[in-house]
Amino acid sequence: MIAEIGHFTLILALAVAIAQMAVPMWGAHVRDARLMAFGDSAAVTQFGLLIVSFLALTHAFVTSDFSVLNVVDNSHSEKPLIYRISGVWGNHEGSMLLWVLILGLFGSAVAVFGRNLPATLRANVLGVQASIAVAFLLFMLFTSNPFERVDPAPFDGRGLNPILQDPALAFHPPFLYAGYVGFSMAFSFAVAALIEGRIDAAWARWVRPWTLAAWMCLTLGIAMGSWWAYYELGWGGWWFWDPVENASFMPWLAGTALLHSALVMEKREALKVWTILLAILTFSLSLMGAFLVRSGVLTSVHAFAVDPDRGIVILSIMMFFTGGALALFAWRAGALRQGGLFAPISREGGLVLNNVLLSVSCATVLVGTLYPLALEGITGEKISVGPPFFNMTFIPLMLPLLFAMPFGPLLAWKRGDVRGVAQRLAFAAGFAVLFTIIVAAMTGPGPWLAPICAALGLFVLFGAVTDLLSRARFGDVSQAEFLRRVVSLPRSAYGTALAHAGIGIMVLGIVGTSAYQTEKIVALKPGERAEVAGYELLFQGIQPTKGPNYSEQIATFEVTRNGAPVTTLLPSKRLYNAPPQPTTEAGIYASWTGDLYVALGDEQPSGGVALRLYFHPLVRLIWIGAVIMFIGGAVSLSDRRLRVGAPQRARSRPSAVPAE
Amino acid sequence: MLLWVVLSVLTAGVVGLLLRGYRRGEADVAGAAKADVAVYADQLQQIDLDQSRGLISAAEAESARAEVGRRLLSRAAVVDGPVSAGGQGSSSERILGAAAIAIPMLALALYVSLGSPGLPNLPHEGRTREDAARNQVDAMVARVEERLRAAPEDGNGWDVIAPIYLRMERYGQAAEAFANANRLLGETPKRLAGFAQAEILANNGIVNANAKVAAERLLSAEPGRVDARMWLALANEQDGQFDKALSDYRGLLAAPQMSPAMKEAIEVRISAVEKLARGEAVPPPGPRLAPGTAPEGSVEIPSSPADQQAMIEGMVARLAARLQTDGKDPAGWVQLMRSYSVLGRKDDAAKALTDARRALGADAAALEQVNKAAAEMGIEGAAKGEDKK
Repeated sequence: MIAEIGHFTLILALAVAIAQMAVPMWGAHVRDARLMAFGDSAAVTQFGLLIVSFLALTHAFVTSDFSVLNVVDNSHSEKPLIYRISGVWGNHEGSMLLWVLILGLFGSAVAVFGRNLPATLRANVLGVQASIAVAFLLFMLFTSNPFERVDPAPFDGRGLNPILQDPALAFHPPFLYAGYVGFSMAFSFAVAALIEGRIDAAWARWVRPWTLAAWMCLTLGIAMGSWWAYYELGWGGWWFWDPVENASFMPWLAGTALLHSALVMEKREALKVWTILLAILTFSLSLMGAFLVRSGVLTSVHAFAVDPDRGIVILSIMMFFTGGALALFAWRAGALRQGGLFAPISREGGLVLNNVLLSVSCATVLVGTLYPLALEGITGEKISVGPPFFNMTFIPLMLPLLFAMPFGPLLAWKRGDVRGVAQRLAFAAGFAVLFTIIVAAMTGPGPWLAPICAALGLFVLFGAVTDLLSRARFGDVSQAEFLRRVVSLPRSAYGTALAHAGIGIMVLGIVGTSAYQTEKIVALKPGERAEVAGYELLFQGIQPTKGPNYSEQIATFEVTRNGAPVTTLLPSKRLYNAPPQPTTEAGIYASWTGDLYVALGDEQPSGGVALRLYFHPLVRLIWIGAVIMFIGGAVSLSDRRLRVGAPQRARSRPSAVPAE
Repeated sequence: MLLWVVLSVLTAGVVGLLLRGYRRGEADVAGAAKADVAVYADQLQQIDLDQSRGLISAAEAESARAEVGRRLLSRAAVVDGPVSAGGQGSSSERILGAAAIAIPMLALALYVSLGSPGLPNLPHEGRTREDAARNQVDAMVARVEERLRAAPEDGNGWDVIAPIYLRMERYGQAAEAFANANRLLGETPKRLAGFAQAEILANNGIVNANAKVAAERLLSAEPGRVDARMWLALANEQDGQFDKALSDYRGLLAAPQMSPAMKEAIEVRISAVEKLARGEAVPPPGPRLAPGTAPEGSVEIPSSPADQQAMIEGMVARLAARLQTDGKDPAGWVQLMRSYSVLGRKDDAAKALTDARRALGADAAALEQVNKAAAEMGIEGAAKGEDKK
């Protein structure tokens, strides 16, 4: 019965969403307050229904109700509880339910927290948001229904792909979807504003908290996916430029650009056309990600639904929303008034540079991702656009971006004093270079680009600190006054500095692990030793054990360094019962300087076991940096003005450099 | 029924929420101008704050204030249309009423076509309770297995577990257990019958030499046992000794204590064997090719196509092996060739023809029969007497 309640509430949510799409927008058109207010109650009700539906499906998974087809296909009674829960979204139908649930969450958040929005704007935003929900609910109910039943029910299920049975993967999709779907808010705001025909600085302030929330979640979601790939796939890589990864990275790049251009729009009413366009494109890129992984175009662990028919439906949804929004945009864009003027060297100029570089890099990733697919579709020829392409195109775009990043927050609006800013940043730059020289001297020769990138990462990190210090007027005022100022700086200023520092830290991790990684492939028999990056590993043998739903071969390594014991590593290979599929669990020892990483390979005819040994210097900084970026976003979101209710705002309060 | 009650209450609640919500929302209409002005006022306030903190100079603050002020003024110049509250009997009332009716109707219509209101929850836990009996058997088997691992020469253990394996359709293990029990405790008719049945079922219905020996001993211990006679008849049939098989089957038909089902199964066998003896093709075996591996039951043909295939191939291999040692059987050769060509093994069919010609070399009539059948089937072997190079 519970599954049927879930099915019914999903259908009811569709009916409510249809009403929510039509009634408030009509109300905004005829300026009727009651019809517009219907949008609020519909959005909250729709979200409530989707929660019930989602809980019903979760119930079916937790109790292993194999009369629900989706549970049969993706769960197994032996699976531990956490993976029975995460199995709800570890498949196509369930993940679509999570998708619409988050869509409903954002819609109801607008209804609840958006009291400060003009009634017509709110009504239109909710209407547009509901139209997206309608499209996806129809798609679910008619092609991917999670509540389809089977009678008679099989006695047990087919199980969840074992490499998805992992804690990081349990939380990766919810964050990722919160990011993708969160950008639908920016889209809905853009379309609503285009419908109303009035786009101004106030609009930018209203859209920014939503964009920021989406950006935060997407950042963390991508980082979790990367962390998972690092320790689960057994190759020690953290990013593969895989089309699926790119599908999540493109909205991130576009969303980051949007976050910054909305800042200019709020402060100066400039870049209006561009910001609206970015809002539309960012969400379109999110939809494209959904299309790529669900259409069968790609083969990957994410390719839940390898069903071209469903793919065509998602493609149509994407075409409809992108095409419709762009048509509206083309119709209205001419009417937008030009905003404030600014000199090339200014805060605005810096943000434009940021936008240009981010958009071009996003386009680069887009080409690298779609070109091989298009080529294969047209000529049947398979080519692989791998890391070399992206390293050659993406990195050169990132270098100037990183270099310019510390300058941006320090430049004044309208007309900046680049020389003054450079003086302020001299310390940061000097530190970065000095530090790099010292470290380079200690580590010995590496790729020529590595020290440059490391210096840039440090420059960004120290630049963020400089930004905070100069806002608190360090050196200009007494120490007590300085401390008072540090404490009273707006949270958005801390948010900016944290997010930028997070980037700098991440760059250091990327440089460290890409340029200075040590890799060894050896075959060892029990009792033999191997050495990597100063660590001695003694292979003690392999023990078979059993987990809740798998059998496991655990290898034991005693790790020593200069004779002193360090740790015991237990890399393993698992064979899951249902479906019977092997996975690798790497043995990882995390130290301050980097990760010692051991992955088991196949047994050799000679009696030994093949092993991949790595030392990844600083690799953890990549994910630590992402977490710091997430925290930066959260700090910004918690800024006073968001809670005051009236005008909401998110990121750094634009403040200029003191003219001295 | 309960489901429909829950769904009705749910729907009523949703409609109530939607309508109640809009009534409460009436008072809370933020005018567009009001909202915009609030933002600009906040911006002005922020400029003051920044200036007092010394973050921007007086001149910069002044120009920023002027800019925000211009925005305020231009916003004030735009006159928004009036917002109506939507009074009684207005069109908004009608629209909302229509939505309140359309939403449940649409949901109900869709649910009736998509849902399965008749299906109850089926949590896995409850279902394992249903199968508690099965679990008990599993647990008992596990206990006995453990004991037998510790003491493999415990005949009683094998004797207990053998019939259980048979019922659990674990035929290979059942045959082994019966064999062990026979060896350790001595042969009894019950154990011999169990062994033969398990061995035949484990081999997809083929009566192999072990099963045949057991059946013979069973028959000598209890002369006239129907199941044993049946297996021996089946063995003769599978060996291609159709005359013997036919007389066995006919003898069985005359035996007392035969159930109608058994008789029917035997008649099917008889007509099949008659055709086989004439060298004709027999239609693919039906679900009950081997009648009665036990007096009260019958052997089911394996249901999966792969198992059936394995069974057929096993029979063919046996026939081929017998003809290698006893080649003076033209009907057997014809059947072998036919089997190979049905199975699509053309090379084997051709080889069988060559072998048949060599084996029957002296018997002109038999050679004629084989050659004729080969010509019908389109099989071409090497010329008579010519060995394969």
